[in-house]
Amino acid sequence: MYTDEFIDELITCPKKIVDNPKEKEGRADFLKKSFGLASIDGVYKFNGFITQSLVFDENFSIGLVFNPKDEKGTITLSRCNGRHGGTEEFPHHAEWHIHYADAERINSGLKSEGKITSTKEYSTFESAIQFYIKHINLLPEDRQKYFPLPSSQLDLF
Amino acid sequence: MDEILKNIESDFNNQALIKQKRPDIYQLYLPIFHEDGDMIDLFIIPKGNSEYTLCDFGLTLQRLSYSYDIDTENKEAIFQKILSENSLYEKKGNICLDTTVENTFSNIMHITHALAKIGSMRYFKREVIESLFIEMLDEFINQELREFHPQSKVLPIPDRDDLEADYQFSPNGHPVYLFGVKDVSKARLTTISCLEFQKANLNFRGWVVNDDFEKLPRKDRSRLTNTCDKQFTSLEEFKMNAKIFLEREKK
Repeated sequence: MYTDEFIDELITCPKKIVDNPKEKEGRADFLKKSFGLASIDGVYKFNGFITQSLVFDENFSIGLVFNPKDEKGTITLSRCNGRHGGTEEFPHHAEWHIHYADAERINSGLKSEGKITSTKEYSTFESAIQFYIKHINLLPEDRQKYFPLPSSQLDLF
Repeated sequence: MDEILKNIESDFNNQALIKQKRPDIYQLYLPIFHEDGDMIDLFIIPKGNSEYTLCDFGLTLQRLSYSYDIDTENKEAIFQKILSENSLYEKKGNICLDTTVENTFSNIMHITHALAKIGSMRYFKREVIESLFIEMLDEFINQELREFHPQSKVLPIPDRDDLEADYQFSPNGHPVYLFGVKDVSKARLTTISCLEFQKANLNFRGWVVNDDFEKLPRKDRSRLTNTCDKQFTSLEEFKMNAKIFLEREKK
């Protein structure tokens, strides 16, 4: 059985890249990068993905997926989304928002990441990536190596 | 354009909202949601001559790609089947349905239903299909091999209820015990069962249908191969050849 505390631990435990981000050739009008992650103690394994529409820049999703060792399948833990359209909570507004998994949904076999919170943490695709890599606690050296800040942006902190 | 937009709002009992996303591209905010709470992505663009196109600008496939890529011929064939059965067409991932003002409501319902179907392709993931192996084997045996009188959950040594064969066929006096093997632990149990049946001097044939023979560890493959009489490396292989081999057992 999953608990919300365990889900939180999975999202925030320090992580390193174990499989470099690779761009996948898509048939469709979107880009996708996938990469492998592991907790630095090697106990947990994850996949990460970044997708963005080539038609609408604001339609993107940047996700963290848990890959449990002892059970089949994967569980999406969180997804940082752009302003792609409405949600059940805000049906008539396009908000920057984050999907989170919650224990109740996982334990009852529902699609995990159904908890949605609007966010002011990012306002562009690039800033969403920077938020995501800090949010999932990616090692600073891997952040710099694989997801460097865009050249016009300075990280003052 | 105004006419069709007003029609949509009215058809959806004013629960729908329409916003211009880009010049000549209007996003429909409809009370139709994905399982994760996001709204279905649907747009309408004018085509000329009072015709319009409902489309998703590739966002359904983008969403599907979070957990499932259409990257093999089989997956592509299923995707194309869904499109053709629903009279949709695709341009570089953009899934489209042409409409007129009069048919807009029914076409919106039609395309959103079809987009949900495409989104459901994630259930075809290997680990989900794998879990259906036993059900698929059972369905095939009970539908296609009835002439060989299959019995399920058989105990070849009556006082050993820990050594169960999944099926028994009796084509020619001696029984054929069949085991469905979908993982390592079942491979080991099958090996032990066949060895025990041999030790008890039973006159039988031991058959194995593997979910995926190549996925078993090398030593398990060797043990299983050395112990049983006949192996099918996959369910497809069994479906193609089961009757031929059961007929041969009759002779």
